[in-house]
Order: sequence, then structure tokens, then C-alpha cells
Amino acid sequence: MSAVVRHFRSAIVLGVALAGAAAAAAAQDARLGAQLDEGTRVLVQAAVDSARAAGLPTEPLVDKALEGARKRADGTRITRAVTALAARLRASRSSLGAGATESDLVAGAAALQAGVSADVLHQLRAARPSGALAVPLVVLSDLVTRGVPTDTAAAVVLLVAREGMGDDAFLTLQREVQRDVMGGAPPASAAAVRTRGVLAGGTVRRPARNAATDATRNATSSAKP
Amino acid sequence: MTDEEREMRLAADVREALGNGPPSTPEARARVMEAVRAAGATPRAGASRPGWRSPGVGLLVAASIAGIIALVRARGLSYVPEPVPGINRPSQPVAAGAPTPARSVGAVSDNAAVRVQFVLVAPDAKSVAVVGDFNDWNPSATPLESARGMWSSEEVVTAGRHDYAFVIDGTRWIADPSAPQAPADELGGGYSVLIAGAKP
Repeated sequence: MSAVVRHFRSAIVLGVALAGAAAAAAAQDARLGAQLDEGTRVLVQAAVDSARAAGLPTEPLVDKALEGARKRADGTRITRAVTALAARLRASRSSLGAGATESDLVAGAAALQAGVSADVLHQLRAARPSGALAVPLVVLSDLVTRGVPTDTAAAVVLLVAREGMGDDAFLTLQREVQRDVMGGAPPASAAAVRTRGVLAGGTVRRPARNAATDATRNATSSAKP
Repeated sequence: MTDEEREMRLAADVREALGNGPPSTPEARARVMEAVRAAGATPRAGASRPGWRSPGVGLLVAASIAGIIALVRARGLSYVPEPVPGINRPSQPVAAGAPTPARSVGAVSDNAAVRVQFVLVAPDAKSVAVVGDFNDWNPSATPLESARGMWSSEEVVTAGRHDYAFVIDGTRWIADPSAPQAPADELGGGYSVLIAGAKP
């Protein structure tokens, strides 16, 4: 009788072990195995597992690894990109709160990468306590990427957020600043002028072109007819 | 007609075509293509946007009109092509100098399916594909179809933030000049941000 019980217990333990192994295999993203060398895959998978354990979204990390593979980056660079993104996601969640969506967290991580401080993210969350933040954060990152000084970009985005304006206002701001900058306006001036227009609920006259920029461009055009 | 006037006319024609109905329908696409053909000339590289002459962007971008239009319905994967007041009709131009960020088309909940259209005018390209986190950055996954240099494709993505880029001739990655840009990171830069489901 005791032998039967022992065999039964052994079978249960074996079954549990097999199920656990199957679950672990399933948790490993097959896309990583298909695109990364084994050494890189192990390191990336470890970062993914760590993020999962911390309650962070893991798909952005897998995406980052796949992006690196498609760009033919070496394994070291891919691993560095993934672990750095994981750290930014962690910092983003710390600033935006546990209730932030994946899009919010990724947008926050990008803003941090652009040079925006964690305090600005925190202030943005305070300005929009329950709303989605992906759009304001994407606009903030875009402004900085286009050359608007970080402090200025943060100030205008926070200003719009504190006025309780919706995502459409941020998108309008981004679009108009982008157009002005592409047209030669100084980024900081464009951001300031267009923010006034957004807050006023309309559009305002575009800022003057930057004479120095124009001169440079004319020279460039002459050099490359 | 100067190059700038020609480009502005092309942009106006595209705006008009896209603004008159849901661009996802064959009729709307035909209007867009007709508008491009009616413009009569291929935009010249760098014609009117000296800022687009940067070496990293090059002639194709200088000549391109790019944009994303989210045409979506938050009805699972089903897409309803008929016009929906206040939803289908793009309110902003999709044209050089009048960039259109990713926009929403109605209330979209998390994980909802969102149909978006990628458009890039690149007359000199032999092939264009869109890569992003929605297709594992696979240049072979989502080729765009060309009609006289206007490359386009409609895709279904989940609502939320997505990074993407265009791949020209299989090797050259460029950001969409009409969309919000993502900051460079450890893998470099050169991609744009789509916010599928963001309310315009």
C-alpha cells in the first residue's frame, strides 16, 4: 500500500515538474530565439523575466531586442538597449504611478531618454491624476527631439496639462511646432508662440524664421545645388 | 508654376482627396491617386523645404509627403469602411509642411484594434516597407504598395503607443517626417511615434 502511495506521489511530483518546465518554456519568447544568438537571448530573456517579476510590461523589451536584431546590432548593444529600457520603464512607473498604462510607461521612458527629468513626469501625473499621459509625453519627447530646450518643452506641456486641455490640444501643439521648426523658426520660440495659441483655443501667427538658420540653409543649398 | 507652388498644389489635392471620405475605401484611394496624378509632376527632391536637405534624410524624404491616418473603429478587428460622422474624416492635411501626427478616430479602449494607414511619397524608391513594434520590426512583413511614387499600406494595430519607421529599398531606415519623433536611444534614432487611438 505504501509503495502505491509512493509511486502516486512520485507521479504527481513528476507531473508538476513537467508542467513547470512547460510553463517556463512558454514564458520564453520564441521571437527572441528566432532573432538573437543564444548568448544574447539568454541575457535579454533574463531582463524580460526580471521586468515581469517587477510587474513591468515586457513586450517593449522584446520589441527593443527585435528592433536591435533587425538593425543588425551586436549582442552587447542589444542587451544594453534592453536593460537600459527596463531601467527607464522602472523609473517611469515610479514617477507615473502603478496605475499607468503600458503606453504611458513607454512614453514616459522615452521622455526620460530625451532628457526630461523624473520630476516633470511626476508633475504631469499630478496635472492629470487619472487621465492617460501617453500623448502629452510623446509630444514632450518630440518637442525636445526637435530642439526645444528641455525646460521650455516641459513648461509648455505642463501648462497645457494644467489647463485641463485634452489630447487634441497637445497634438495641435506638436503639429504646429513641428511645422514652424521645419519652416526655420527657432524651436523655443515656436513652442512658446504655439502654446499661447493652443491655450487661446486658436492659432496664432507663426514665429519669425531664424535669420541665422536661413543663412546657413542658403549656404547649404548653394553648396548642394 | 514654381516647385513650391507645385508641391503646395499636390498637398492641397491630397488633402482634398483624403478629406472627402474614408481613405481606406477603394473609391477614396482612387481619389487620392487621381489627385496625385492630377498634380501632373513628380515633386522634386528638396523642392521647397530646405530643411529637408540634411544628408541623413536625403532626397527621398525631401520629396516625400508622409503621414499616418488612423481610420479606425474600436470594434475588435472589424473595420467599417462606411463614413462615420466625426470619425473617418481626417481633419488635418497629410502633406509636407502640414504634418499629421497619429490620430484617433473615436473612443478606443486599451487593446482595441485600430486600423491605420501609412503613407510615404518617395518617387525614387524601388521599395518601401513599414517596420515597427507591431510587426516585430520585420522589413519583409509590411511592404507598402506604390502608385506613382505614393506608397501606402493599411494595417491593424492595437490601441496605444507604437514606434515605427520606413525602410526604403530594404536598407535605409527613416523616420516619418510628418509624425512625432522618438528620441534616439542605445540603438540609434530614426523612428517615429504612432499613438493609435489618440483622440484628435
